[in-house]
Amino acid sequence: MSTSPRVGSAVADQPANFGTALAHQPELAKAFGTLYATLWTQGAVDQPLKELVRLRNARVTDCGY
Amino acid sequence: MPATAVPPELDLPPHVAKLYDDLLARLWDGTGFDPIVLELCRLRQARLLGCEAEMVRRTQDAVDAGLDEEVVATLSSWPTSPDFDQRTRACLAYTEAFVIDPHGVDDTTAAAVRDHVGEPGLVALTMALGLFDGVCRVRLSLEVT
Repeated sequence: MSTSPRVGSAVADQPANFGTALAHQPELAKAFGTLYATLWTQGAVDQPLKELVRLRNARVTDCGY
Repeated sequence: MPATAVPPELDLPPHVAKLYDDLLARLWDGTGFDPIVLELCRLRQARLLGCEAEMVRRTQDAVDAGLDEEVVATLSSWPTSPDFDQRTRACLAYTEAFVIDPHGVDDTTAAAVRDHVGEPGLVALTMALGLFDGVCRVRLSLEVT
């Protein structure tokens, strides 16, 4: 496991994180964000259950971020 | 722009399907990433995940760019086959690490991709692998072709 991000921030004066790394591909990031927001806020599964599923997914994949 | 990779059996609401298609369009047409290399990575990922439906289909952008089926047929031997250049091998090595265990991606493997395609390319490939991975898992979990 690396101790530092493998992709730098594409946003000036901001540290590398998921969002600023994605900013290397701004149009892709925008399209991803729009779809993700739609999936998050709409649909047959309520948001508390979605959050539990998201957290469990993160736990199983050991994604501490 | 490829046909949507979302299985039609899912019957997604049209506005969601459109957003997904928009994301795919950005991925294949708007990142600057070589569509042939991206297709080879997608196919290798599908093979590792055992997703037959994703193995048999082809993305039109890659076909239009000149995807060679003889090269596709040798994909499993990418580390040694002369059909694959160093850039493609770096991307395929990263793909395999991503699929097998993302915690197993190491600095050397990531740096090799970055050296060939830059940080924007590494971001594009990683986002693509995440998207392709999701599609394979949806197909496998719901048993939809």
